[in-house]
Amino acid sequence: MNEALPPEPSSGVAGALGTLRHALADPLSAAGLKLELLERRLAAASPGEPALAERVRGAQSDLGLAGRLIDLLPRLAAIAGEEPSAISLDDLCRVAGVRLGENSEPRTRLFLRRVAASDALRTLSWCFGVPEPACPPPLVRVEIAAGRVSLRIEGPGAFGASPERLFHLPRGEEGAEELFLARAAVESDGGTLELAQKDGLVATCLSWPHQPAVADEGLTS
Amino acid sequence: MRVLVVEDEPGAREALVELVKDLDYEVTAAASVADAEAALSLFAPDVCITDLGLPDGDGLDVVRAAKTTGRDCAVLVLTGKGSVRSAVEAMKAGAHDYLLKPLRTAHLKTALAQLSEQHEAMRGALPESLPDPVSAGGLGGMVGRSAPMLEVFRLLTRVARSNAPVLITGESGTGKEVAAVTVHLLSRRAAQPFVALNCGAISPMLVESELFGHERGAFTGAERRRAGTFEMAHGGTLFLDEVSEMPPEVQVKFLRVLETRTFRRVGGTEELDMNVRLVTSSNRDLADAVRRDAFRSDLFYRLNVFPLRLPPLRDRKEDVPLLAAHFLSEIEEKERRGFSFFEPRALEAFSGYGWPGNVRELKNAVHRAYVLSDPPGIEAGAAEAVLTDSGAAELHAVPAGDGTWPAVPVRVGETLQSVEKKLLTATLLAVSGDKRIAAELLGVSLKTIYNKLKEYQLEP
Repeated sequence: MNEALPPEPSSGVAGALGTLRHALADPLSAAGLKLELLERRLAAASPGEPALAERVRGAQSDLGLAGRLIDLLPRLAAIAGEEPSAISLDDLCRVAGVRLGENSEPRTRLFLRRVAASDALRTLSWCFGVPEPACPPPLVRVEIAAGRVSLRIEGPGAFGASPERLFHLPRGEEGAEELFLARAAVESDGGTLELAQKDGLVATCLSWPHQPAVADEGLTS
Repeated sequence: MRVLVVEDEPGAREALVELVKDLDYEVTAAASVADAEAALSLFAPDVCITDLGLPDGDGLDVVRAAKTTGRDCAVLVLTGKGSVRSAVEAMKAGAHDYLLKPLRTAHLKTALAQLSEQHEAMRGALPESLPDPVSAGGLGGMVGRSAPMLEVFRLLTRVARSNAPVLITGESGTGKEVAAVTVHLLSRRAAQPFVALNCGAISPMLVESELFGHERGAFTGAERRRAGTFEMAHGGTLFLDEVSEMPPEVQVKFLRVLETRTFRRVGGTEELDMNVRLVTSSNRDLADAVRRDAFRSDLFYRLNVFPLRLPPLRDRKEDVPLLAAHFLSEIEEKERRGFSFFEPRALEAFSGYGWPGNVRELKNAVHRAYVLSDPPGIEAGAAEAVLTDSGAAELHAVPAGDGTWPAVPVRVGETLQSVEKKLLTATLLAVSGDKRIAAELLGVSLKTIYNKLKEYQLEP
């Protein structure tokens, strides 16, 4: 019990997102309880009206989805509340649980939200399928050009429609929520996240500005 | 079972009261901390469901008030913040559990049903009827009456009845799994399963499947659906040993399970409710692992709600005779050779030794001395031979702080198996039981270390 808890974001965007989640949770919770009671009363009073009960269950399902989506708010708050710091490519990949390709300049430093960026990298590496138990961690290839550091991961996979659509939280799409958060994390540090698919292959690219001086300063401060 | 609902928002309060009534519980409601305090003494609830945000205080005040009634009232805290802090603070304040808003009625029903079952099963059984650890010489499966252990027993008794996650730390061999079992046995979940998983003993790629199970065809070799430890421990306690060895990608998924209380089998789409009490352990410094980015800080805070540190045996040497007698009794129960005591000099030898391998090393030493002695007493010569033979005395006579490792004596003609066993034992002793470092030094995988420990029966 001696370890201090992480500070709760209380100001700025992070604090506002936390407050918003709290404020939304109360009415959603009350609505859920009332629908549960309504379903029970309907089942007891008019068991011969399945269509009405079905509508109530539909409303409960919609409410469940809303409840799930507001759980993204504290995770967005955590991204917004994290202070960027210097991290080497090597460390970023180690924390994300991915392999850095050869000739990738592992000591290259970036100035990022460490937890959010490594979570984003991990999401991009693992969210497209269940890895085989015996397979090695995904391989990341690095390009440094035009003032940007780009991390590319390619592998077999396919999305139903446009991968870009996944970032807009389409209902029922597996992994869309994690991708949404990954993009938010990358863009918070001035980066970009792209997804593309062709011929049964999925290609992902995370890219951040390369500012060696800032990154080194962040490391020593 | 009597349930007190504490909620200031009238609509939510009425709906919650009506639903709890529908579930066949006796229920009353309060709209503030002051009302709740009055209801706690007048209504004498068995369970209190309280919102965190109340007009004259917060839910933690209700938790504290419930703890002072002297009754065994389990408090479920409702929190809408969804942060690590609010959940952990509620548990640290003594809440039995927390439920995240928007409330999933299935979670509420499960929590109440379980508390009701436990309420009936355990009524009046704990903790008042627990034997005094001093006269009993221990608590549950744990043996000792030294001051450090009495403090451990006090903390363990306090936490056992809540649902708070417990993180047990201590050197290798101090009895972390025995402590986990004791938490389970003293908890409201005692009649339900206790399932243990050693995160360091299985391939990192299989940890996820072991934890969450998998569907048929989820990956090559997954020929049928398999339940993971979360499912196997449903309703009971899940003990994750060496949690620091959990791979980073599994740490993320594990954290989400703790946040949402649901999980999916690998390759599956069905959301399953998590209903386990979590006990974890690590012989590595988890806070240090967090600082080195090797362990997620948000997961650490969720697991570290109630830390329990087990003392090394060298810090409770007065327990050595008691432990030795306990192990002798256990061995005699199985082998029945007619042993009933230790010669005084045998106990002196044991008491004078440093026990770097802790209780596990003592248990193995008693067993070896048992084999070498003739009944009815464990002989002093056997005890001394066992301590010398282990090589531990030599190892600890050589300071390892100068960067060199101690030597292991090997005879020409000694079997390779014997040499391997000696080297493994000596390396583990030299690195204070840290299997990962031992694996690195010996150039083998962590899994191989576990296999060898099992092969040579070096683990209890």
